[in-house]
This record gives sequence, structure tokens and C-alpha cells, in this order.
Amino acid sequence: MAQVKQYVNLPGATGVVGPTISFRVYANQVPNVHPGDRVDWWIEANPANMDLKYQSTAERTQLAHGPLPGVTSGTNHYFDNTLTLTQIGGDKYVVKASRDGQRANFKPSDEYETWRKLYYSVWWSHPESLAMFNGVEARWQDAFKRGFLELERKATQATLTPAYEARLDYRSLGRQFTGAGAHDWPFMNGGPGALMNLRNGGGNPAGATLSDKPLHMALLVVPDLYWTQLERMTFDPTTTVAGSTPTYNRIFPDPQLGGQWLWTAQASWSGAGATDVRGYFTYTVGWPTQINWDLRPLAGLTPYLAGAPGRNFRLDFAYIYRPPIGGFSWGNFSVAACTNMPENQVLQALTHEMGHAAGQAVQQEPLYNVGTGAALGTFETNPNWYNDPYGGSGPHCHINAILTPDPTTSSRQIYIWGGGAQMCPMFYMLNNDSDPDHFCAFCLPRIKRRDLRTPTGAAGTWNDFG
Amino acid sequence: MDIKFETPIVYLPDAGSPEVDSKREAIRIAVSDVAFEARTARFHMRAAYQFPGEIAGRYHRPEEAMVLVVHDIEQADGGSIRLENTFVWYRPGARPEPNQIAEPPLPMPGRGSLVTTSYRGGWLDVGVAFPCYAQVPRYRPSAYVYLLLENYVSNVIGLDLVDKKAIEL
Repeated sequence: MAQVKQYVNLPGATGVVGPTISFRVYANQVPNVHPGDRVDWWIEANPANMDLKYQSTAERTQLAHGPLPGVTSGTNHYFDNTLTLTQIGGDKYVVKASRDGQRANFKPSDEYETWRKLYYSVWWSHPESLAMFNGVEARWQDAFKRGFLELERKATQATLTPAYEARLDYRSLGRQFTGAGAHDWPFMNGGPGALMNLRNGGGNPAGATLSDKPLHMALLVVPDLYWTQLERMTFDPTTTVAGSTPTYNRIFPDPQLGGQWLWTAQASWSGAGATDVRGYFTYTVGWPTQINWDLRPLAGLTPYLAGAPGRNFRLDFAYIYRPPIGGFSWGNFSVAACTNMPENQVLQALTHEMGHAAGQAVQQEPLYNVGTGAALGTFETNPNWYNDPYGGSGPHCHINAILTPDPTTSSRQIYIWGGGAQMCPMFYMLNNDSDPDHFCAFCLPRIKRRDLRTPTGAAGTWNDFG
Repeated sequence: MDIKFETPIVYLPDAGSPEVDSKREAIRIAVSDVAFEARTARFHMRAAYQFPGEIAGRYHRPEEAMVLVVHDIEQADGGSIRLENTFVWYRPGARPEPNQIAEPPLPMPGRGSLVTTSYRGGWLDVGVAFPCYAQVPRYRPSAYVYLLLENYVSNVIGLDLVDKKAIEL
């Protein structure tokens, strides 16, 4: 009897793909069976299988029918049945067939072990990031194998443009749009300077598709990444013709805008319309960086201010800066920065994000009557689940963490490591105190129980890209 | 009410961004693409915000401190969500936390004059969805949306889910 890994979440019904397996046995294959007899079918479940209290009748492994007579076709006489497997990972089942009433003499099937599979393709923008990913990939995959979820790499490719610091804007600053759908994800539109070429959310129709959607993640690894953002400052009224103001943001001269770092800068005073004064600005990098302006050469302004007491003007500008980010996951796209990150934190980030895709952390699960499969109307609550009021955002796991006072949360408390055993990778933030590739004893069985025909995520859907 | 962002929040202006009159208002929102389908209401929101410097200065990132409120009259329901891209992760220590640098002095001023000499702000746009279990919306507007930070409140936009349009109030 062979053991077969059956990937129950994959669509299809052939080979090891899909939750259904068709059986056909001929009269001469089942002991003591002859044309006209009934063949009995039953499932032998492994005692270590997942408790049936987590599965409704429809969700349980089941055969299409019990004892039935066979079918004669030409010289053959055969008996058919279909097994539909649970979506839970790690269960083992054998189907047995015998002459009805003679179960002691049976023909067994192979042993089917339930697995799930998700795919990913890797884009890398620098050899350093590929080396980092290759170094942690096996441990990342193993974290999920323990939950009977196999991660299969479909492809590995360099980004269209090499980048040490990758720009990952959700929308082009230069693309002035009015309606919805303005998010054009310029780094994946395949155009000049883009990193990737993928279809996205109804945009970029010339982009490439990913196979096996919605089960395929596009994973980008880069040494570092950023997006761009604007901050606007207005001085109104002011008489400061030459001055400066501090910022702790990292100012970004945008190569896509000819190196401009000011989006707008206008001076306005009575009798003069808004005047573009971008050319009168400089900045001095430091901590803080100083944004400087000297409008003394600006025609008309200084004479206007000197013309009468109490005169003033309005100065309004917006500069481009790049906030520091480490990575993000939106639907089936995930990006991780690798440089200056300890290997374990890169691994934890990857494990954490794919953990969200596998539905973690689970707050509660419905319970069912073990015998009948009927809903009990009660739930099993995960004691380690928490969300935003205690730190971070979204569903996370606080095993081996403790609460400490913190004014930034709505509960005025936040979870931190308790100083004992390691925390789960589903803790809300990267740290040195979580096991980066071993889910805790509460999350791991919930990964097994998660129906992965449609992966979830922290945001978006797994149909968003490709 | 479970409000969701259907796009990342972009903190950039575009041609559809509203203009804020910083002497009279701190936040102005504009809503487009109102939709109702399969018991989900959707809209796209753009905002411009300009807080008095001393208010913005209480936060490292005032744009992430704002909250979107949805007041659903149709269903007698409501909810709120912070305007932060929570699907993003940061290197430990890469950005200052908590976002709030200082608490506002109490008692807070009422919603009086916004006149001062310096302002700090920016823009944002985002796609929003919230569940609307009414089979057929009846009210015009069905829901009201607005942004706020502390006691600085934006203009209020009505969502007419019957005719699927935004109503400036």
C-alpha cells in the first residue's frame, strides 16, 4: 500500500490534485465478489487525524455511497465510488472495498495523506537579496510543511531593472488622475524603470499572468525599499522672505520628475497671483534636515513687503520624501527588504506574511457534533488571539507575551515578550524573541484546519496580481 | 461595522484631490465612484489636510493618526478605521513610535478659529468598502462619511446608495 500526498486545495480531480479520488474495482479484484454481488465501501481513518469536532458533515472526508451492485460493460463487471477528502491537512485515509457483509476480506486503496499547496514566484532586484532568500527558503518552507502546507517555487527571475533600493509606489506621482482605479502600481507595469511586469487589479492589461491563481504569490526580495509621499507646509501670513524649517523626513529628489524634490512651491501676495518659487528653495541634509528658501531675488515680493507696514505674504510648498519601510503584503504580492536585517527577521517576515495567507491568527472556530456533524452553535476560542487594541493591526498571536502599559493603544496596554519561551512568528511585529519558522502549538493546528482553496491575506485578495 | 480599505492608502495628491482652505478647515474630503452591489457599499475618497503646526506637531505622522468615520443611517450602524497602511511592516526601530509625540493640552479648544501662521499637511486617497445588508437602499443619503483627528473634523459627504453618487453637504 503506497502513501499518496493528495493536494486537496488544488482545483482538479486527476492524480494527486484535488479533493476527489475516483475508484473502480473489478469483480476479480475484490475477494469473493462476482457479477451481481454488492460491494461494500468504507473509509479507514487514521486515529491521529484531526478531531471531527472541527468539521461539519459536508466538510468531512466521505464516500459517494455505501454498498452497491456493480455495472457490467462488455466482458467487464466493475464497481465505482468516489472519495471526497477533507480540506484539513495531515489526515490519512484508506478506502476499503469488500463483498457486502464480508469486511474481513477487503481490498485496500493506497493511503491518502491530505496536503495543501501554494505557489510562489521570486523576483530579486540584487544578488544580495536573492542570496538572503535562498539562505532562508528551506526553513520558510519547512515552517509550513509542519502544517501540511507545501510551498512550491514556480519561477525565479531578476527584476527588469536592478535595484538596491527599490521604489514601490502604489501610484505614480506624475499620473494625475481623477476617478477610482488611480492605483497603477508603477513598479510592476513593465515600463521604463519598472521592476516587474504583472497584471494588477484591472490595470496594466499587457502585464503577465500568474498560473494557478488564486494560489500563486508574487514575492519580491530587495535589499531595501521605499515609497514616496508628500508633506505640505504653509506659512500664512509670513514676512520671512529668507528662512528655513526643519523636517525629520528624508527628502527625495525624484528622478521621474527630473530630480525635482518640490512638488509645488508658491508665494502669493496682494496684487500678485500665486508665483512658482520652486527655484528659490534648497535643503541641507542633517538631523533634522533644513528646508531653506530665499525669495529676496523674487521680483516684486521684497518691494511689496517694504511698501507699507503690516504687509505679508503666503508661502505654500509640498516636498517629496521617502518614508522607511521594510516590506508589505497586498493580496498575492509580497515584498521584503533584506539588507541590514538579521536573517531570522527576514525569515520571520516571510513566515508571518504567509501565515496570514494561511488565515492566521484564528480567533475562534465553530464546533460540530462528532457523531452527526451538526453545528453545535458553540465556538472554540484561541486563547492567544488578539488584535489592534493590544498592539499592531489585524489578527495576531500573543503566546509567551505579556501585557505592559502603553498609551498608544486603545486598551492602554501592549503585548511584549514575557522573557521566557520564544513567541510565535504570528506575533504582531518583527523582533528577536519570536521563533522565526516554528508556529506555536496553537497556530500550527489551525494552519492544518484552514481551508486553503482561497488564501486570505492581511489586505487585498490573491486574485489581485498576475 | 467592518470597514475595509480596498486599495492601499496613497499619501499623494492627484487631479481629483480637493483643496483645503486652511484658515477655515483642517481636512476636506471628496468622494467619487460610489457603488452598491452584493450588500457591499464602496466609494473612493480623496482628502487634503492642513493642520495648524502645533497640532500636526503632536504627531510624527498626522496622516496616519486620522480616522475615517462611516455613519450608516440606512442600517443604524457605524464604524471607524484608522488611515494607516496596516499591511506594511517596518524594520524594528526604523520609525518613531508611538505616533503621538505629545498629548493635547486640556481643556482642548473648541472647533473655533483655525487661524495661525503655519500649517502642516498633505493628501491621501483610498478605496473604501463597508457591508450594507439592506437589500435595496432607500435613503438619500444612506450613509455619511468624514475624517477626523482629535477635534478637527472634515466636511461630511453623504453617500446616496440609491443613485450611487456622493452628496456634498
